[in-house]
This record gives sequence, structure tokens and C-alpha cells, in this order.
Amino acid sequence: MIALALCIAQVNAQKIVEPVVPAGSNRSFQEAVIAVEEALEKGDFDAAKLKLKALPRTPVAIELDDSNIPVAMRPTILEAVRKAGLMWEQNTAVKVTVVPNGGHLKISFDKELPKGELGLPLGAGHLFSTDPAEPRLQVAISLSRGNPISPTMPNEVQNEVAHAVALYIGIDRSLRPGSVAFRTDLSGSGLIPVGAREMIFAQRLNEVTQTLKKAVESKTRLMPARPKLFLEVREVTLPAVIQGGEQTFNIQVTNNGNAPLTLMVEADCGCLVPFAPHQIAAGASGQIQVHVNTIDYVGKVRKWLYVHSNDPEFASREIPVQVSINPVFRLVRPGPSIIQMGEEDVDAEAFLWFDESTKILATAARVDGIRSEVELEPWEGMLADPEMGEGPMLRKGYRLNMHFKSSFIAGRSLASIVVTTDHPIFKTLRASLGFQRGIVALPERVYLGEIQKSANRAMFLLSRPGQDFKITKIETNSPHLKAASFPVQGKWEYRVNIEITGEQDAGLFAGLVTVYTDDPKQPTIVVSVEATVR
Amino acid sequence: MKLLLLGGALLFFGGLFAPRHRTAQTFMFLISGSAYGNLAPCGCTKPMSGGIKRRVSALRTLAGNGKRVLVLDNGGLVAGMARQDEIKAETLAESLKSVGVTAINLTKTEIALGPAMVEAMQRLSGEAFTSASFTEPNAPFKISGPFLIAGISESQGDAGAHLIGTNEAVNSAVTTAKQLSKHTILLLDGSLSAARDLARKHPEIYLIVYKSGGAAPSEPGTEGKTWLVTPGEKAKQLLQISGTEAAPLKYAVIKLGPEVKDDPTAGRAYDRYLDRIVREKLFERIPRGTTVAYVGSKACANCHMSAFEKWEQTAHSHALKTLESEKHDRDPDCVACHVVGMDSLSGFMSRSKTPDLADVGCESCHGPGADHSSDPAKYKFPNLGEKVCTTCHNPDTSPGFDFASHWAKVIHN
Repeated sequence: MIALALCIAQVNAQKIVEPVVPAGSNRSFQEAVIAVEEALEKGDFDAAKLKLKALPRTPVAIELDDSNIPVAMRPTILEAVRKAGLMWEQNTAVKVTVVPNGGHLKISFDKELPKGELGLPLGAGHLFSTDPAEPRLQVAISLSRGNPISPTMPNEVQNEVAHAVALYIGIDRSLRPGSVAFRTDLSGSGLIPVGAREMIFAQRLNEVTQTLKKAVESKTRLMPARPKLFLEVREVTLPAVIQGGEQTFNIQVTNNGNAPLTLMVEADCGCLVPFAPHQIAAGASGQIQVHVNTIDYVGKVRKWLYVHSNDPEFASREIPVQVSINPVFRLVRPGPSIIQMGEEDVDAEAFLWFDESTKILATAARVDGIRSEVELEPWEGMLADPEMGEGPMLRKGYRLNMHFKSSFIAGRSLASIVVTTDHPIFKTLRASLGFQRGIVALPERVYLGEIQKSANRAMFLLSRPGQDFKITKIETNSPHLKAASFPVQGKWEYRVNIEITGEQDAGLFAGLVTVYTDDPKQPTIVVSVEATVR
Repeated sequence: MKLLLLGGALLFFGGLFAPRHRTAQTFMFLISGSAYGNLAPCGCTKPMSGGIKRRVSALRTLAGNGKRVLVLDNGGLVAGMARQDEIKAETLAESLKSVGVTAINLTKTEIALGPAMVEAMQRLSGEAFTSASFTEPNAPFKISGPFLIAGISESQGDAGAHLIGTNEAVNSAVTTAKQLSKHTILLLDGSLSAARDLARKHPEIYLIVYKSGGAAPSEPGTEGKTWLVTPGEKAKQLLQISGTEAAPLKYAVIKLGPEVKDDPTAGRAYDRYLDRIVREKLFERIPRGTTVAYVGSKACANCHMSAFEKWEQTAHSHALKTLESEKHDRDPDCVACHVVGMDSLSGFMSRSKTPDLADVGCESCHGPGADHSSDPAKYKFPNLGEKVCTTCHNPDTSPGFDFASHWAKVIHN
């Protein structure tokens, strides 16, 4: 009986399931850990020691094979490799050395690599090896990249090497741009930093490696940690919610493995705030809770959750999240988008309504940017909302009776309808309002962008809807700029065709077209014409 | 050798141009859209994605020599109709022309800028705008190789003049494509469900690009043989699709992060944009209202010295300098979140005229302080919470913002 109890105790003592690999490590790292653990489980400590070589070692010895690099370029490339190592050393405990041979991470260069996923030549190719006689990770960096193909720049080499170090130490490729764990075959001249993510993982993954080393040294028998992630959903579609309303959802995660499952959950947008348990015990379930910020969005929005785990089969997974957010308010002004101002004051109206589920009160209204008076009154009636794709329907809310004072400054200007409310989030509601006074040039300046030294044509309109005027003369300030006018809308809108002749000098061309009219208040209208001649 | 094998494997599995049948030509579609005026990545939390310089760079690289490549944009270049939106639209149109854009959907947002601006955008884009829905200006389809591309705008509600019904516009596109023995591609200013309905009615449609908020899906949607795809919004990513005449085959989402270099041609266009908004004094043209006067952070220091000293140590106290270094300090899109009271007649005008209102100051969060500073007992400021921060630190400009950790950086009594 005592012997049996001792035997059971011994078996239990062998069932140490550790270390727990953090989520966000790559599959090669996770498989290397399992290989060591399996050897330890069998009590084959020599094999375990051999398998340990597949785990990242520090300092990371980079074997640089520069035989394919032109001799003159070698110092530059060596400098880029060293700088990549320095980036890691300055931000993490990872040390990097460059060695002539026998490195853990071999970097070589090829003139050109084959095309990859994007149809572009690969910027680099990566290969993990489980053969202890070979470098753990071999990376071939292309000396040319992009389309059309162009030489790989030192910064790009530095980014590729820094990324290779991330892979070597076990960090999974990031799905989010912005740090060295992400990479692309597109060209990029900027340096990509070792980010917070890499800093955290460099430490955690090293802890895992050290734990396994100690287990091998102390000949401790471990059971391989095999967490197994089961996600309840592959995508999330949420019911419609009012803007600013609380929206939270849960995703159940079950660990069907024999060891703690580690989780890391990120979102592609600050509008999704995930809270996930760091660990879920073997056989247990946990909840990823996600809070959705609905304040800044309206309509159907698709965002992404990135779930990382230490299950090698599901090191990373994307979960699309569909959110449908109804606007909390609508501020609509029927009629033309631009209000025409004449000699007289002008009245206009706008309508405001809130989602029926809210109890928001509008407290005051004004218009910024123009002399005006605004009255706010309760209102109910039929109205369309074209922006939301809604035809006329019964609405209930407020009418804004706006009275704009005439003041003759010709041109187009912008004003803002401002409504204050008693709502703690939507305290101030705004909508833009355009005004046009007098004869106006549309667009107000003519822009031709970059042009060649050849004839280039453009146009502008001179417009004063409903009020006739005549163009009496047109002139320009440059012999290289010609202009002529034609009526297009009765006698209140004219088209002015212009041409830059192509004889002008290279550089910035800035000409003026002066249009003379029969209106004594606007006898001349000057329109600038600009182009960059290359 | 193993590396070569790896490369070979990638070529085999991912070979975009590898012909699947000897006679079948492959085509590549590069798809963007719904930039909504986002010309540059913006924000205080790096890294930010998107921007016209990266977009054009990626388009140029992926398009290569342009053979059998269609560059498509689903419109929505801008979201407003102010002068700044016009300049943005011109900049985007000119940048897309530089990569040989095949077609741009002429949508309600472009139409809202008026006929003169539509003509200007047409000229700057190389006549790329197209719409089967709007009868004026009349450029219903674009033909490129074996494809007919039609811009379609959903016609619910009163979307303005010259808009014809969705079904009529799509019927016209599909019928014309049949007559010309072309495959139909729709650039749809409409939702996924609208795209799905159209694909059910017209199963011969090759591809529909629809509009959606947020990011692009990692896999294409399908309805029968028709692919339904969206590049998401704010031009933070591109879609790359390849296929034969028979069907689309491959799909990839290209994320436009800082790994993608800036395109020099788009960079020059962007520099001209910045120059134009300064020369046209768009900042000076912002509508401003009458509010309680702003007094500046130094005035607050008289009674709240410890809070002032804390503020001086924060990034808020040099927020305008950040913009100045990036030449955005007269950009109306940016300045509001870097100064005090931009929407008020008593607010920030310029560093020289209103130096105490430069940067994010006390009144950026607490509101104008003239009343409070004249009689603190009578005019007390209410307690503030997280909501006041998210006015500027919203998911777009500050994607990693969380109140607790950021409040710790600026905490004061």
C-alpha cells in the first residue's frame, strides 16, 4: 500500500506541466519547446539537451554571409546588421553579435528572390531548421526589391535583420504594422522600431527558455504543455446600438489541452477595448470581454480582434467584428447645399431630431461665422434624410428658424450651426452651412498640378444664380495664359476657359485672370491660376 | 538550397502571375476608396496607417509596368464641401493620376462639390471619374481590357440632381458589357447587402466593390461567382485582387503602415496641398463664435501653480510645436486639437497674436476661463471625466488611448 502511494506520488511528481509559453510566440518556438518537453517527459535528457539547441540563445549570434554582396557595399551592409542588433540591445535584454561562422541566425544575400504572395519579389526569405548542425534560422535578404526592381537600401536591410531577430527569439509575425515584428515585401525607406510588443516578448520568451534549460540541467521530467484553444465564434456580428450607447460582448474561449492556455488579445482600433484572461487553466473556459466605443462612429463598421495564444495550431487568429451604430442625432437642412445671399436678409431652416430611445433636450442654437439670429422650436413633420438613405418619414424634434443678415462680401464662406444639449457626451452638435454672395468663381482658384511644357487647358465658372450679369472683358497677366468666356446658364453663369500655352519656364507658374463685369459692386473678379511646370 | 525551395514554394502557392492555364491571362486589380479626406496619417499615437504618399507608393509598386493592371478607386475622396475639401479632392485626383488610375467612382460626395470641381477633378485625374448613376457629367463607363467598369450610386432618398435608379444604372452597365463582350465590374457607393442584391440579380457580374466602415475583410465575400470586396475606409489599406477573365482568384489586403515608403510624386502633391491651405488662409476662414473669453494657461497659474507646473511637463504644453515641425500648424483639420479655443473669436489665432493660447492648455479641457478667473467662487468649473479627453483622443487620432494610463501622465488637482 505504501509502495503504491509512493508510486502514485512519483507519477504525479513527473506531471509538471511547464513552462507556459506566452501567446504571441511563433509556431517554431512553440514546437521547439514541445520537442524539449517531450524528451524530458521520456526522461531522455541527452535528447532534451540536443533539442534545446532549437530554442533561441543569447547573445544571438548572427552569421553574416556577405559573399554575394559587392565588396564596396560590404561595410555598409555590416553597419546595417550591427545597427539592427543595437536596436534590440537598446530596448531589450537581447544581445546580438556578428560572427564569421557557426551563428544561430544566418543572414545571406541574393541578387533577387522569387516573387511572393503580392506578386512582388520577396524582400527576404526565412527558413527555420530543426537540424542542430544548421543555423536555427536562415534568412536570405534580396539585394533588390520592389517593382520596378530597385536596390535594397541599408535601412531596409536593417529592418529585415531586426525582423529576423524577432523571429529567431520566437516572436510571431505581427498582424499590425508599425514595429519590427511586422514586415512587408513593399519597399520602405524608414526605420521600423523595436516596439513595446517586442520588448515584452523578448523577456517572456527568454524566461521560457531558461526554465527549460534548468529542467534539462536538473534532469526534471516534464509533461509537454499542450494547450488547445477552442474559440466559440469565428466572427462577431453585434445588434444595432445607439451612438454613444454601451456595447459589450463576450467571446468564450475553452482550453481543451493539458496545460494553461495563454492569451493576448489586441484590436486594430481604439474603438474596441478587449479584456482577456492572461491564462485559462487546462479544461477550463474563460471569456474575452470586449467593450465597443460607439461615440465616434455611425453606420456599419467592421473592425478586427487579433487573438494570440500559445496553442501552436492557433498562434494568431483574426476575428472580424461587425458593429451597427445608429446616429444619436440628425441635423438636416433641406434644399441646396449652398445658401445664396443677395442684397436682402435670408431666412433658412434646419431640422434636428434625436433617436427615439434618447431623452435629449436641445437647449440653445446659434450659427457661427455669419451675423444671424436663430430660434429653436419643437417640431413634428415629414422629412427625408438623404445622407442616411431615408425617404420622407415622420420625424419629431426641433426646427431651427435661421435669419441671416445681409452683408456684401463677395465669395463663398462657411458657417457652423451649433446646437447645445443637456446630454453629457453630445453637449455640442455641429453642422456646416455654405454661403455664396455675389459673383463667385468656382473653383475660387484654378489648380493644374504638375504639368509638362505643353498646352494645358482648364476652366472655372463665374456664377451668381438667378441674378444676371455681363462679362465685359477678360485679361490675363501673362503672355503664356489665355482666357475666354462663354455663357452656360442664362445670363447668370459663365464658363471661362483658360489655357497655359506651354511656353512658360519650368517651375511654379502663377498667373492671374481678371474678369471685368457690368456689376458696379464687383467690377473685377481676379482668379489665380497655378501649376508646377516640370 | 532550402531557401531556394522556400522561394519556390512561395512562388508555387502565391505566384500571382503564374498562369494556371497556358492561354489564360491574369489581371491584377488594385482597389482603394473612401479616403474621406484623409490625406495623411494623423494622430499622437504612433504608428498610424494610411496617407496618400504610402497609398501611391504601394499602388505604383504593385502595379509595376501596368500591363493588365487596373487601378480602381471607389470614390468618396472627401467627406465635406468646404474649400479645404476641394483642395484635398484635387490633390487626391492628381496623385491617383500619377499611378495611372483606371476608374474612380463619381459619388455623391464628389457631385456635392459642384460641376466646376467635378470637371477639375476629371482633368487632374486623367478623366478617370465614371458614373452610370449620375447623368451629368456623362462618363457612364470605363473600358479596360476585357472589363467594363461602372460607378454606381445607390438612389435611396433624394440624393440630388441627375441621379438615376440603381437598377436602371446597373442594367445599363450589364447590358452594355454584354454587347461589348466585356466583364462587368461595379464600383458601388452602397453597402454589402446592396452589393449582394445586385450580384443575385446579375450573376454575371465579375466583381463589386462596395463601401464599408472600418477595415477591409481578410477574405473576399462572394455571391455566386461574383466577388464582393471593400477597401474599408480612410484609405488605410489597399486590396490586391488577381484573376483571369473567367473569375477572380486571389485576394490580399495591403496594410499601409510606416513600413511602406512615401512616394515622391505624391509627396510633391502633398507639399503643394500644405502650401495651398496656408496661402489661401483656410485657418483664418474657420467659422468662429462668441463665447466666454479664453485667458490662457498662464492666467490659471496664479492660483493653480502646481497644476500649471505639471502641465508644463506634459506633451500638451508643446502640442503646437509638434504640428509646426510637420508643417500642419495652419491646417484647420489639425490645429483644433493642438491649441485653445479654435472655434471661438477669443481663441487661438496664431502663435504671435495669441501666444498664451498656443498648445493644449487648461481651457482646452475645462473651457473658457474669463468668468472663472474674475470670480472663482461664483463661476466654478464642473468636474471633468474621460469624455472630455476623447474629443481629441478618439479612435482615429489616438488609437491606443486609454484614459487610466494617459490621465496618469497629466494628473493634477
